Amino acid sequence: MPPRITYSTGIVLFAVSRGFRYGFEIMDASGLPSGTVYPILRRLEDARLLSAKWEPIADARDEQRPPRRYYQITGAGRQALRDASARFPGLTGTLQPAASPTGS
Amino acid sequence: MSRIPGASLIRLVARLIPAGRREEWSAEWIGELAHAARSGAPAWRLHLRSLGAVPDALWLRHHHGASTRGHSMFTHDVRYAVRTLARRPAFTAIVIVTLSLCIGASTAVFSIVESVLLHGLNYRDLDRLVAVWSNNPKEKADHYQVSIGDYFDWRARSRSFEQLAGFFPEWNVTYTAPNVAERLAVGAVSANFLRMLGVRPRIGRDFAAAEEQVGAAPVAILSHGFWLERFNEDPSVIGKVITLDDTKYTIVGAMDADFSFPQQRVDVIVPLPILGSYIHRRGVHMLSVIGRLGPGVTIASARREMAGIVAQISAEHPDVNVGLGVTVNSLSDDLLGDIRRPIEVLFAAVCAVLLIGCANVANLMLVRAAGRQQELSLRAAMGAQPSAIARQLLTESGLIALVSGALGIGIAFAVTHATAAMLPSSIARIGSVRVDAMVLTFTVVVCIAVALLCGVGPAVRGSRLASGQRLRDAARGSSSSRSAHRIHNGLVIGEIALALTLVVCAGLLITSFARLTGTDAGFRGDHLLRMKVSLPDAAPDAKRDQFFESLFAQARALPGVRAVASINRFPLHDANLTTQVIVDGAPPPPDDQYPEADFRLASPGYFATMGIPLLAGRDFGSSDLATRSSPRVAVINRTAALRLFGSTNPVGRRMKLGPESAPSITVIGVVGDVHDQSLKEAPRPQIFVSTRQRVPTVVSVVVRYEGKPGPVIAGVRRIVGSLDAAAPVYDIQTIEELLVTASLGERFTTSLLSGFAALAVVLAALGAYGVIAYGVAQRTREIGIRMALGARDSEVLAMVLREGALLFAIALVVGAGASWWATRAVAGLLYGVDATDPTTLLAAVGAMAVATGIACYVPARRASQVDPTTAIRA
Repeated sequence: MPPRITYSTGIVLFAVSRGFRYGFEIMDASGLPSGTVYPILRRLEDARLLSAKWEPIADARDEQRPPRRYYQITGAGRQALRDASARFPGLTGTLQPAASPTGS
Repeated sequence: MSRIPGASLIRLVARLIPAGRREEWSAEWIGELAHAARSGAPAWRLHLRSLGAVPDALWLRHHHGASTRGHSMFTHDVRYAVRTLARRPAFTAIVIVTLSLCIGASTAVFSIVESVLLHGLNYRDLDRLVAVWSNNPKEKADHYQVSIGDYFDWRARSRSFEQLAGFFPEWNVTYTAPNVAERLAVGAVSANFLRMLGVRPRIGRDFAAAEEQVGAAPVAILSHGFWLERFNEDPSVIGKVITLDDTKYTIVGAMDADFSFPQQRVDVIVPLPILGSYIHRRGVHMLSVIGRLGPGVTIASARREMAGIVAQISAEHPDVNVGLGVTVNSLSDDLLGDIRRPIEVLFAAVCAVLLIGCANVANLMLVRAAGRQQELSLRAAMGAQPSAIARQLLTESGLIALVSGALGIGIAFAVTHATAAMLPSSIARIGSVRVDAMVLTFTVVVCIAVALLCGVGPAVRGSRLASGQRLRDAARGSSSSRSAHRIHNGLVIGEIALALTLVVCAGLLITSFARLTGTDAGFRGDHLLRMKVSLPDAAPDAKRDQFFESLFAQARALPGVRAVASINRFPLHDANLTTQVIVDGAPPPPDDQYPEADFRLASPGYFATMGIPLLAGRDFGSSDLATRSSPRVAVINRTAALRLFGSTNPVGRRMKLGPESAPSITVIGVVGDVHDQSLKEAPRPQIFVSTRQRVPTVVSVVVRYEGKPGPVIAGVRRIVGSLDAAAPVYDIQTIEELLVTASLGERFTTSLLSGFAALAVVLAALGAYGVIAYGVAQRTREIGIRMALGARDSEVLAMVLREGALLFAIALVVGAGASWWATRAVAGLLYGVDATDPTTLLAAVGAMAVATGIACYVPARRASQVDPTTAIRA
């Protein structure tokens, strides 16, 4: 069953689509608190609108820290984002101006 | 890896995550936190963000939890219960306030029970410890101190005891150190004292057997308090020397904080030889004796053995030991005897309040279960099992008990401190009252009991209601089961009866307390001050006399001082000392048992300073001196005059104090009686000898002052310091304070029990109100019809009030029975009032009747104002 896309869900989906891939990055970009972002990520992942992978172990080892888990938008996710953008026209203007993705 | 801010919370919260996903979940959070920390994010921000792990974990647990069915049913029940309770905030608040007050009060009282009665005496195998006293059956005195000679004989001859130890708990000495002169309380003990109690010093060693011999090198063991205060718990104190009354004592040990000296708080423990010359005198009864029974020895068999030994010793020393017997009691009865009963009464009272609270809440919940009939029936119709509905209702009461318990513990923490401050010193010195693990366990048990008491009734009823065929009835709201009504009434009758019992007991204690505080102590307590001044024992009499004369002369000149005098043992404060009295010319008593009287040393002007009236003759004068030419004189009190001289005039009569060989002294005056050992005890015969003829070493200086006591105390201190820098002034109090202290135990019991009784009355009245109001609400239609058929307001009012009166009448009968039983328990605590005092009993019934009357009148009045047309249509 596809999840109900709320405004916050839409923001998270949009942030991931713009290359913000890690939990804390998504928070920085969306301005949403950690207690909101993570359950949304779990829901989107359960609904296969996002997929998750672990960052290559070598990258983390170089920086002497544990690896992070990152999220990517799926095909179904892009479709859902399009639907959400139609429902919430302001969605694409919601990201924090100073934020820039680390990945891609 | 260095510490990552927030990581510890993640590890904690990870326990909520289903096992299969836990590792990955933690890794993701730790990964993000570690990365952010490396990128220089401030720690507070990471801590803040890590809080998001909680909703994240709860979400995952909820959606991916591999929980069992029972578990999810439980969370479902809890959530449903929370929602149901939140929907009725007023009901929930009343119930929780009631229960948390009851639980808080019972927890606070239990903390006293636990710390004083259960753990107050921290000695190994307490049940094997016995107190052994001399007694005198003819004088009906069964707690005589033991003479030191007798004690050593007992110890040598008895076989019942593993250890038999003797001690004197209130020897006072002056402790001197550079810039310090301080009075200390010393416990003088036999060398085996600590071994007998089964305790060891925390540091250092116990006394050796040889150290109790006269002439052994003086040694001392410090109490924890003194060690902490003077030496800051420094372990290197062992081997150091302290000076007590000009004698140097080597410190060999220091006690732990949880050790309490029996009977009295002491600063230092030393072997018996500190008692000096007393140690050789068999006639001086000053030791308390405690024994540890050998394995398998009973108190009864120890008693038999000791009786034989005492008879033997009496035969060997007929001059001093005539008529003496022996008392052997369990130590805990002996030490806790006086305070056990009030604490038990308070605990019983608080349990009664708890029961009333539970009955009240159970009633409220029963009424509410009835109100929820439709909801419950609907759930049953949709397939809910009766067991599921019962479980749901039990969950609600469990949740209420949990919240109330948590609040109750909070209340207990808050009030235990205040309660402990109110405790009379006789209780406070036995155990420090606090909320500890055992008290919390008690609270948990109480909460479970509360949940069951309040919840089972409604649960059973709810599951019965939830049968499909009742749905129709429920919709009409006309179903009222007669048995349910009986349960409501039964609970309220029980509440009123219990509350009545508490009010009766509280009433008796209040009357008793009023009589006690209203008792004339025999002297004027206002603007009166006492303080102890002590001089070295070794100073010659003349020097001490001169010291006190100079002190009085200079103190009288202080501004605000109206009179100054002294007494060696102040009434209601110091321990007693008695003497045998032989009246010159009176025939010897048939059994050689001469009368006894309290013996006091008082200065000239003492009676006038105290406001004790002179009834005949004269006070001591400045000419009554210790010189050869000055005859020895005494003043006696009224009771002594009557006991010793009957109706004849005692002034000018002569008597001997002590043995027949003692010199005769002349009675020069008779003064009014004073309550000396306790306000409860009738005045005893007392004999006063002038301090100028027999000079004491320690006195209470008594000052009648004007204005504030502070400057007077400072002035006396200054004078004493200028006369002798090594003489301490201590133990200072106004007599108003002393009179309050003298009734502190009674004040404590009375005020607490009155508080509980008031709470019980309010709860019982609320209960009665609830039941009557519910009955009225159920019968609104019936009342409407009656009124439509011509019933007047007053008839309806009377009808409802009759119902309340019937409840009260039944409760009165039940309560009378319970009161009869309960007043037996408090009878021993009463002073000047009989346990069946009719005024108090009637007042208690009256108070309860008024409370119940008001509780019934409100719904009755509402019933009488029912509008028939609305009621019938409803």
